[in-house]
Amino acid sequence: MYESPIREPLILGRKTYKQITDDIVGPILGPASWKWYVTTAFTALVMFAGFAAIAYTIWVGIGTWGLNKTVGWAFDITNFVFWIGIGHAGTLISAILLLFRQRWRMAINRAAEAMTIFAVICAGLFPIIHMGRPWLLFWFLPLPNTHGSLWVNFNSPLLWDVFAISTYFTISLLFWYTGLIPDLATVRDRAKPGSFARIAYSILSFGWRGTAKEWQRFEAVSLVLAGLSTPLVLSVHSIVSFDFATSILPGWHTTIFPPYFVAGAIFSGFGMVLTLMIITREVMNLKDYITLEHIDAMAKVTMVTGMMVGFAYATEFFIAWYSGSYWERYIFLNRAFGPYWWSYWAMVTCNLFIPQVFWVKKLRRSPWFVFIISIFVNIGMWFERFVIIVTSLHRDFLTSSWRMYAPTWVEVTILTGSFGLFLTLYLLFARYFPVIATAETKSILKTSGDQYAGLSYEAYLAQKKATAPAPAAMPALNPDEPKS
Amino acid sequence: MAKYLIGLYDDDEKLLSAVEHIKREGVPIHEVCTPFPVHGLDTILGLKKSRLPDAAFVYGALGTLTALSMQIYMYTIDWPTNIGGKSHLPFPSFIPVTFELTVLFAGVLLFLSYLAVNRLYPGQRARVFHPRQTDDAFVVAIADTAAWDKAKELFQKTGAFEIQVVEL
Amino acid sequence: MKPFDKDIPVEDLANGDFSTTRRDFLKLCGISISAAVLAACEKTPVKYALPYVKKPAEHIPTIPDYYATSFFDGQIFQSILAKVRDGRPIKIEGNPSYPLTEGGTHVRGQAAILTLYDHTRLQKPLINGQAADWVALGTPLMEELKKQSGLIYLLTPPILSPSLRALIQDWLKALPNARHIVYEANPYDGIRTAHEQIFGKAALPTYRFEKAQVIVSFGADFLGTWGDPTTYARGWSKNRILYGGRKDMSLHIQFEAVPTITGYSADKRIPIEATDLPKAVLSLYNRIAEKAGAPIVGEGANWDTPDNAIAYTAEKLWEARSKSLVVSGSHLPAIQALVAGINLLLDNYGQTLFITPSCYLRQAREKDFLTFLSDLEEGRVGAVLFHQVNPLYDAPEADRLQAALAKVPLTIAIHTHLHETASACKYVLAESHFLESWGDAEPYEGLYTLQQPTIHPIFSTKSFAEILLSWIGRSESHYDYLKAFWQKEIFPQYAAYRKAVDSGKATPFWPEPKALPTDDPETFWIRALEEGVLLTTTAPATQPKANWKPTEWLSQLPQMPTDGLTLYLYEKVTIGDGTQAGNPWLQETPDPLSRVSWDNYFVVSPLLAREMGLQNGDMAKLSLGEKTLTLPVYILPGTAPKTIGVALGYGRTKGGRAAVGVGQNAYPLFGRVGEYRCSIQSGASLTKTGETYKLARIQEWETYSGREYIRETSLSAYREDPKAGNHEEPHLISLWWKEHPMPGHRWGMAIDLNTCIGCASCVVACIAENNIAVVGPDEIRRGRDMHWIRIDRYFTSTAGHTGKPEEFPAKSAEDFPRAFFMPMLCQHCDHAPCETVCPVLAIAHSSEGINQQVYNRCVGTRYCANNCPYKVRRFNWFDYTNAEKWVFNPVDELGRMVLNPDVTVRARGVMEKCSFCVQRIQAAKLEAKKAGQPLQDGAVKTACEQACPTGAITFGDLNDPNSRVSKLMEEPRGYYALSEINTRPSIRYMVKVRNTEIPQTQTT
Repeated sequence: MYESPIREPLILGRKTYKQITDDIVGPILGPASWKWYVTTAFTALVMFAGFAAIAYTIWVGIGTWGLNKTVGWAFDITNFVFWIGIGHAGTLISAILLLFRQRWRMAINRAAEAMTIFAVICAGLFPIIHMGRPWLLFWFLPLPNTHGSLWVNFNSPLLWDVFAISTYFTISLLFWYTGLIPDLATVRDRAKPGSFARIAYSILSFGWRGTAKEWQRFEAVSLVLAGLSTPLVLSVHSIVSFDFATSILPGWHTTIFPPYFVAGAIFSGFGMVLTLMIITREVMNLKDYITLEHIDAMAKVTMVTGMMVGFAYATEFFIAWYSGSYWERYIFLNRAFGPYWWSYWAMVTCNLFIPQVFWVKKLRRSPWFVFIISIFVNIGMWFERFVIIVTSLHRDFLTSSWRMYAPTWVEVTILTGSFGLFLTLYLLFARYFPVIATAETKSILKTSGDQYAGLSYEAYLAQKKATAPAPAAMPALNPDEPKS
Repeated sequence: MAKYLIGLYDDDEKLLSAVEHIKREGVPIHEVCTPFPVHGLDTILGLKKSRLPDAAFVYGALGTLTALSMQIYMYTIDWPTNIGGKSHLPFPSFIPVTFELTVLFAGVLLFLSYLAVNRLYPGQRARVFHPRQTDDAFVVAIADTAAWDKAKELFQKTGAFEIQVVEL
Repeated sequence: MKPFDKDIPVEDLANGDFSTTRRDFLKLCGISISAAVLAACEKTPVKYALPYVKKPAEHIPTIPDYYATSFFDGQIFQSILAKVRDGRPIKIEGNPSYPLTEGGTHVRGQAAILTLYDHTRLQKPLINGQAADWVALGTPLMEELKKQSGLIYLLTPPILSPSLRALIQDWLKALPNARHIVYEANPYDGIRTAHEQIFGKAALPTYRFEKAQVIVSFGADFLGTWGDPTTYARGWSKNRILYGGRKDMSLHIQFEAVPTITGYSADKRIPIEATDLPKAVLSLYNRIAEKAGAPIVGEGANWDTPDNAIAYTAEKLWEARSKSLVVSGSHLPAIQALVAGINLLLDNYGQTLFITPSCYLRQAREKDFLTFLSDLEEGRVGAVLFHQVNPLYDAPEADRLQAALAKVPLTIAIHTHLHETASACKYVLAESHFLESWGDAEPYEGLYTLQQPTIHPIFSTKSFAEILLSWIGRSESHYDYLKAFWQKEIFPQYAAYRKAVDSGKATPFWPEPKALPTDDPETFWIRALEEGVLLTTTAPATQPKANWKPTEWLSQLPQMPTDGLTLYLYEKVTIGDGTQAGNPWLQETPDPLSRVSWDNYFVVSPLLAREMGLQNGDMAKLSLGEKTLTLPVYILPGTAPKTIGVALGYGRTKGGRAAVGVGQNAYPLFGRVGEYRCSIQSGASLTKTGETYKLARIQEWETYSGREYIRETSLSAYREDPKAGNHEEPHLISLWWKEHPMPGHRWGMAIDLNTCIGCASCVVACIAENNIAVVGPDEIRRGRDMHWIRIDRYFTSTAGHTGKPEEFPAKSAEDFPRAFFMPMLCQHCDHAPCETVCPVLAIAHSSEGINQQVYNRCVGTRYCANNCPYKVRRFNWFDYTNAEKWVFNPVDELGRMVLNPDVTVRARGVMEKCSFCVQRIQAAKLEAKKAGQPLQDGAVKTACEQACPTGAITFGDLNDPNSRVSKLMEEPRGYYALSEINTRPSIRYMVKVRNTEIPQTQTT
């Protein structure tokens, strides 16, 4: 890949390998700050509130939600699609950026992959609890049974979901853990011999040593898993979009959905990555690794995907008009100007208009501003799913069945609970696992660390302002080049 | 319990040249451990290319076959049912599941074989030459005691910052 | 266990005297342990289910038997078949051999079965509210009655039963100072008096709508609530059928202030202010008189509506002389007399309506009640007996009655429930349900039906006849009495009729039911019981001579001040006069027009709503003199701008499972004109209270927004082109190269929008047949009704399609919308969207074209419901079988007796929907198989089809080219709902044809 000579370093602060280890692995073995305990306690509380609401639902029935004979899905599937979307950024960053040799991914891919897994856990919750009889979940599996010939329906997008989501979760988990093993080994070897941490991490690290052969296989496997994950991540959200696209409901029955949903997923995913990363780098003081450079890059991606989503909105309207189908025309007018107009415009504002501020570099590079925008992105993308589901359902073909939907406290508690679950898992991860891929980061230290650029970052910037080309970094093989 | 003479280097460039040197001198290198993948090392050591990617392809193919045969058996042979007037062999409907199972098989089996060939599993005792080898030290280990003296001076020559004998 | 020879010295242990040896101690332990062991070995009691020791020869377990019997709740009469499954009646079906309804039923007739299993029924007689035994209420009570010096009043609903009439006469003989008066909540005295004075016979005429080519109704909801609606609907529908090559249909014009299903089923519906009704009738009379050359009477001869509807009506009526029919729902003799006059001038008597034979369904005389009341107040009354009447609830003078009743020494109520009146009585005699008792009925002169019990009385109850028998000291059972009566009275009458008819001297007045043997009374009686119906009415040669003096009546015409608003009291199809208000099925069934269940409300016009700034659900206070009533507002297009409608039958305070606390009682607002009740009262005023109330609406959108699943045309257009109003089916392609074969049967249904009157009979029939849960008002508000078949009501609109009141400008009659009733149930699509999306294959298509929902496989993802374009799938949001929580759902110990054992009761979290009554299909197939014959067309009737009084629903086998349904599928009027989305439904609708020109502004 072409390297611009004046590319800003991705690792600041004149790091050495040892420092990297200290910065990233140190906190894991050290004591946690009271802030961490407070935050985790709070998120756990929200999580358990959600669990209580779920228990209540399962005990009493789906009737405790605001659904009715016309609107059979609302918060449940909205949250499901939302969380799946969040998950996608992780895979995208680690897999696709790996294939594209984007080095800047290395600071964030570990956390992003973790985020993927936690998001998929949250997502997986909803299809289960939205069932009328969740205890029969296993009926989704094509298991041989005593009911004579009785199999599942391979025509049903919901069944495709079962396969897609479970595959997606498994592969993401393996991909993530493959990368974790060497870093866990690092933690292991730095833990006090005989200490609990030592034992725990040696179990977790599977006895990794870092021999040449191990590393060779490691890279091969990472590359293959990345290659598998890339089509997977695209397929998963396409299949999720089939839940709607293959139905006959106006506003759902749309061929644009697969690409539209994937773009949306990436968009929302990056939004969430930004939200988390900006906090992480502040709290865990990893500014040297998650630099403005990273935030800048992610902000760009966010804006671009945001515009892709916006384009999809426009296309939908155009096609609705162009198709000449009465149903299509009505449903889209109803979306924008019907009783749920506010949700539609909330979506458009948050997803299309607000991210436009990222045209300004200054804003892209001010973390807290980006943080706020990223929150808007999350809100907007949640509303996108809400709009698609509820506004299409509540007024379909027969006017006699048209009805409004409003959530109950149970649904709201479950939604917040899913955020609680997500954050709790993330906090635990950030506490006990290396949030940055240590080994990989070390491997790019020379090519992308300012130390090797021969001067301090400040001086470097000064020089760059003078547009003098920086002395070329020490020649090295491209760290991402697979061996052949 | 085996004894190894290990030389520790603090930089991957140094390591590469050292390993090259040591090999040229014909000293058998038992093992090289690094904190991160050092590129070019395997070529210098002359390691064979990993066949895991090929395995992955086979696993994937296996997944495809499983998925297709499963769906066709259940849907077309064992229980042909009229579902929304669709055919008993609705091939388009089979594609998503087929794809997912392909990926699943490839991924899972690949990961398992990766652990297997590396002898990695929970509870595996890590035979680490030096605790810093997962941190910032690049270790070259010589098992053949006969070659130790030669190796020792080579280590010094190539700038190992530490040389010691470990037992594990 | 063998007792010990000597007892063990445990007390020594107790008082610490340890003389007991180790042996004793061990013995003690040993014994206790072995005792415990033996106790543990005790055989646990086993309950045995006792099979028939000797099985009744005619009865096969699990195979239902059908018994012909009769139902009359004081308003609705039905000749029915009770379906009895293993000893318990579970469904009421119309008796096909009853010539007037031919098996059709009224919604209230369908629902009546549920009251049998109502745990709020009186379970034993009460004295002063304390449970008593029947002995004390037999002769002793009669003695007490005899002791009374004052008058003794017996209030009953119309007594249709000839045997009971005789019995009451005997009882009256025993009590010289006793009087029997008939009481009705909503009497028809006006029409009876009018006919009495004109024809000398106080009668509600027998209407033959099937003979009428032009039908004009002034506010008479004859298809829903007025007179004998099921019979009228049947007759009416005969001239509304436009298939099988028929090109002719009757013209139905309705003048009304508050919309009724009759009005919205009419070809021309002219909304006029309730206060204008007298004017309208008089004007019509004069216009007819003009044509007939009879004298014009009174002023306002040429009064007319803005679009000259009266003139138009007069034209049409005159053209159809002696083939037309004019009816009015008015309570006032004057108006009824004018209507009679119109029919006279049109020479309709003896053609479309008859004084002989007359209808016995209404018998009350207002005068009787008023004298009773004054006698009460003047303390002349010693005892009062209320049988099946509830004047303390539904008399306008209820408060006066209440006060006066306190003075009466002896008050007796004979009723099934402890309702308002019963709870004010000293003696309450628990009456048996009609399905528990013998009886007979004569709904029309000479038309008899029998009533036989289908189950032994569940509680300690007696029928009214049994009580009377015991009172007049006759020992025989009611059955013996009834049989004797029939063999003595009815048999000769029938024999004579039979002879006359067979010898051709006379013709039966109605199409004849099966002829019964007349050789001996015994077989006659048995066959009569089997048939349940027998006809002794011959077509009358003449009608009584009319003595028609219009001028006499003019003075009686009410002068209604037109200032302020007008209150109009009406009955809903479902609740009627409130007798069955306690029936949860009826309460949950939405009103066909407002689609509101579980409430009554002010029906106001969009115009008035706009003027007063009212929205649906705004609470408003109506004041009429010093009387007030506070109810939510419902804006019903088609209401006369200055009229406010309120449904009767709500606001019950006692008695009945679901009656209490639903709506408000409007009876006190009844006024009287002279001695006659008047449901129309001008000078009312309405004020917004500011509160709002969420009405339990099943349908929230009023119009069909111009969508093409509703199709209509005018008769003239239809005559030119049978496909008029219909659209070309879009060209539909399928991704799959071949359809799935359906070699055997292939079930399908045709629904004629032209004859559907929205009476909701099918809805309750479906509930009863398929064990559909009653979820109560709150769940309805949340949009979770469980009905498998619903009758969508759509309005046309002139302005846009917002479904909001402003869509109905109602500036002039022309702007009032037309309405459509569209029965909507699972369409059993061949390309069913629901089947494709179910992940666990809980829905699959049967080889007979039925879309089958498999409850025990369903996991409740609700995807099928989302993907159903017809929104006919219903989800079990809660466990509706929990009797504590779902008080209205008949799932308590007693209530669940009504459940149909052939249909699963659905569990929580499961999707359900119409099954095309697959249990009936299977049963019929089995029958055919046993008989070794192919399944006959019509052998399978779905519950909805069977209940429909107008035959709008036809079900059958599409693979049989000769089946009725196959033929209907060929009709050019047929179309599939939402055919353009290519779901290929099995149900075909038929374009609504109106015998009038459809204003282009309103076609969409």
